[in-house]
Amino acid sequence: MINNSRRTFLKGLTLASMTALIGPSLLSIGDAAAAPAAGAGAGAGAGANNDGWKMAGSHWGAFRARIAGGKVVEVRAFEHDKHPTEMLNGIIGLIYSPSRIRYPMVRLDWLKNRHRSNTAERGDNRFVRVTWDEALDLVYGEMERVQQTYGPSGLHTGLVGWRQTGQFHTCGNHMLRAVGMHGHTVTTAGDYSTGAGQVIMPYVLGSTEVYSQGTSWELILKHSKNIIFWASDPVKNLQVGWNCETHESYAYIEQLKGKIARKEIRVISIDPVRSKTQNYLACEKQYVNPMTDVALMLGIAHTLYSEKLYNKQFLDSYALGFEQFLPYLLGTAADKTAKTPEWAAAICGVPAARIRELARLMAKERTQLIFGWAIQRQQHGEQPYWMGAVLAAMLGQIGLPGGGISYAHHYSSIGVPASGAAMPGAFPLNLDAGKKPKYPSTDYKGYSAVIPCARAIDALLEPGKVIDYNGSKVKLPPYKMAIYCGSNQWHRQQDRNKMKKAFRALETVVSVDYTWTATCRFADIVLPACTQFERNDIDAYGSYSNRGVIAMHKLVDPLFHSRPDFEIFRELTRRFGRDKEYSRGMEEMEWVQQLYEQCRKENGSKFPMPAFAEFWQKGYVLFPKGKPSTRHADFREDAEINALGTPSGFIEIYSRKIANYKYPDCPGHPVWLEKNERSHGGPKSERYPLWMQSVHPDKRLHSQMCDSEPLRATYAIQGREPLFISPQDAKKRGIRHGDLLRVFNDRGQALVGAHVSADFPPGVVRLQEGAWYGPTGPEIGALDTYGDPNTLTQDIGTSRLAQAISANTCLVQVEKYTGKVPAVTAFGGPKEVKPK
Amino acid sequence: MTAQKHNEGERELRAGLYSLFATLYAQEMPQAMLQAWLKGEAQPLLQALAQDGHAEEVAAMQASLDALRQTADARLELAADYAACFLLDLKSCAPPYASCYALTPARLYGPQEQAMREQLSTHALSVSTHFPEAADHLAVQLEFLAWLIIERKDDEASRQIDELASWLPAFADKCAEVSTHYPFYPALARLLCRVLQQDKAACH
Repeated sequence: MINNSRRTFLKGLTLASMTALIGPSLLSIGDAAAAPAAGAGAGAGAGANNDGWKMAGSHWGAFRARIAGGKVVEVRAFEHDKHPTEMLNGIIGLIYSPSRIRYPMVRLDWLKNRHRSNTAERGDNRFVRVTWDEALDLVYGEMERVQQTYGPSGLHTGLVGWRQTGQFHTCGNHMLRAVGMHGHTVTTAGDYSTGAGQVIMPYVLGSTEVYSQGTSWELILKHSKNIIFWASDPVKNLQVGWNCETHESYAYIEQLKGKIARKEIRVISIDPVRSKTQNYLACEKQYVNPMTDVALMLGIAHTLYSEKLYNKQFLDSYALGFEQFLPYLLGTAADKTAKTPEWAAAICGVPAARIRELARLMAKERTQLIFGWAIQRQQHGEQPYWMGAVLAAMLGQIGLPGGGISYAHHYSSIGVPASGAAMPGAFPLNLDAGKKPKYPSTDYKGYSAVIPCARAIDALLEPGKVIDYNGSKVKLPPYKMAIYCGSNQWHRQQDRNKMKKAFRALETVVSVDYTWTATCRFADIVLPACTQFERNDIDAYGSYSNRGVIAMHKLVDPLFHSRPDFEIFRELTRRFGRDKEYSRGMEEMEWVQQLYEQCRKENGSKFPMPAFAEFWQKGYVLFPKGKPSTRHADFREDAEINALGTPSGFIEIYSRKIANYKYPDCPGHPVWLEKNERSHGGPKSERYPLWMQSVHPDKRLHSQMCDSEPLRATYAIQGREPLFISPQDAKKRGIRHGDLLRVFNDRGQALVGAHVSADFPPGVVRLQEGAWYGPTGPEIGALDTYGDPNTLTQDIGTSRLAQAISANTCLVQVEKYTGKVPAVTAFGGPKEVKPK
Repeated sequence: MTAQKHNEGERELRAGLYSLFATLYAQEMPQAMLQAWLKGEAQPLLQALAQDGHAEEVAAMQASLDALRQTADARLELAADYAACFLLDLKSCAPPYASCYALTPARLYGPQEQAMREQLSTHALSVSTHFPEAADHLAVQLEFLAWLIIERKDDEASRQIDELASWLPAFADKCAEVSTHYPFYPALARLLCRVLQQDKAACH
């Protein structure tokens, strides 16, 4: 019973008895607005004098933000961005996300026992807050121990992926420079997005192609009669860009829509799924069984050859190795199988007559092939790209406007011509000339210093194993400490349960991020970086179009105890006396100004730029549009002078180099290879009948913004990631739209929400990558409560050549979930579960 | 003792109690303060609170102190409980911020933060630069309440109590959901709720 009487309140107690238990006051006399707590880390501390509209840039485009009361209250797309993404609606939720890391945290058991801690507790454990000094002392102490105990093979610096934008603060450079001043580390080759493509294409067309500027949309719209979007979904993927995105491609796609309606251009989307692009364009669709595109291409190639529709003259002048490829195509090679349309139809599900029709269509008129990236993120992902190039070579339109092949028109506004202007440089990632690390040893004890990024988990499970990689041997290093900065390893790497086991071999894991990603939850030391909206920076406007330079004003002070990566790593280098060398004695705004002025100097009178102060106040400088160009036109004009970067300088249909590697999973010319699991009658499809594709998400940038609650609320189903499923598959399982489902295979299981959609054919489900991992517990096999597709995907290399990820070679089963429904743990920090 | 002096003493006690709560919510217990608790310096207060009708909450806190006396790393263990309750991702914690209870979906730095900042400002107060936190942090709100009581701004203090009482039950429920090693912080939240209720009833 509550005693209401004032007279007995704390009877007999004296204030003196409490004073020892009362700390110093949390309030100061004096108005915050009058004396802004700049840099105090209070996030909103700058008060009213910071209010007004400011300019910001991001992967999602440039925008203006209104600050009121020291907080970001409104976001409006940059006035020059005519096609802004709805993801801008997630910005405020990202800054003020309840998933923000607010303080440096250390896992309690690690703090007590350091590198001898119980690593099986990771992911479900107790953290304690430490001061920045304590946290950085711990990181530095571990770097010292690892260099002294193991040498450079003991420390892994994780591949930095889609870091927050901004040329000065780009976090990977800060990590690599600071850690590099201390000692050498195990680093990575390739990336998760285009691992197979970027390795195979230099052999075939002489460059990665995936990151190359492509034929300008303007020319495609003018000259193409047919456009084939082959597993490419630009309307979905062009929302984001590597630097500040301009969204200029959308204007051309809008025009294309008109041309389709007027029947001026025929567009076919070859895809198992009705893509966002297809729905937007109202274009034709060609269904193909998942992962069988190479068979379809071979059937088309066979038709082109047998009906003499291919361009022999082009092949003779610009390509090598068609003769070595022909026996395989025609059935006179070892497998004695002609790759006829009938042969292809049985595998790819496209009728033979339709395959012939497609071949004739492509050969008849100017045809632009446009490939996406997801198709190379599968087992033997090198093959569809190589075979695509062979098809394009047979069509003979490479180097012609509106013809040939592209591998990247869905990416960062490729196809918008470059202005020709120079863009600002970045904070240096390397040591300055002549400088050596504190630990200069490069003795990796026989292990490789560089590993293919996707094999990082194999290195933990099978250290010392020698694997093939792109013509060389890699001996997987037994690294004991890993540092991740602005990269979410527990999103991008496949097979969570394998990872859980592997991570136990790591003595110390450091993660620097602004939000409690799964990578942070599975780390020992978590350092809170601020978001890009809490620091001043500068960025290129248009990664490939170089349309301008964008000012990125600090919108608010770093929230809570978070700090810019620059300050975090400068403080780290201070611990071994290299901080002045690290920062070159300059502060944030000095760097930003210097990067701008260097760019301004380089552009000179050709692309005049205002003085820094004027630029900073205006928020941007734009350059005139560039001139349209055609990919590989110079090569077509003169193949001798403008030779490709391939070993021969020509398009290599057959690669002697690759053939000499003698890889059974990537021979000397493109081939159809059965997958270790494949739906629609392929291996293991009886047990797990559904192909699960984990494409780039529509409303996130990989895992970024999944923590933005307002945005997530627009697509989540019962608080879970949506699993897109066909009406037929749903009906068969008694599933209705909105149901809670369990998706599972031998590798893992996850809870998801059913999104029933006629965009999906029977046998195909989609769970978009970037959904945050939230297992019910630390045990291997635990149910994922939100719907991370990498709970289910397999961690195998595409082949011995690229050793890239094979996320899209994945079969699953789905059922209605009837058990006790666990809460979503993905957006919560680590939480201890009491032993049963 | 005159009635006035009695009231003055009680005013100081009330303010002191809210300052003490503010101290406990502002950060993990530093070593010296934890030692004071473990050595029994809080006993008079806990006894008085128990007599005031909060015996159950006090018992849970006493049990925590007893257990911590047997623990080698008492400070770290209690700090880990503090982190689990208040410092990690706010979805799995009991966020000590008023904004997180007023907005759906939960968000930091909501209108409550702004309102608190403005309210402090009208009294020429601000959150100390040594406490880089949002102004709607529970510790700031309690400290402000203590200040209002001392400054005899009774109407405003009463409104501040109402404001706190509007979200503290939800906060205490969240604390109870967090898996802690010791019941100290969940009990503390219940205790604060009850003290506020009691005070609220007395004020009106």
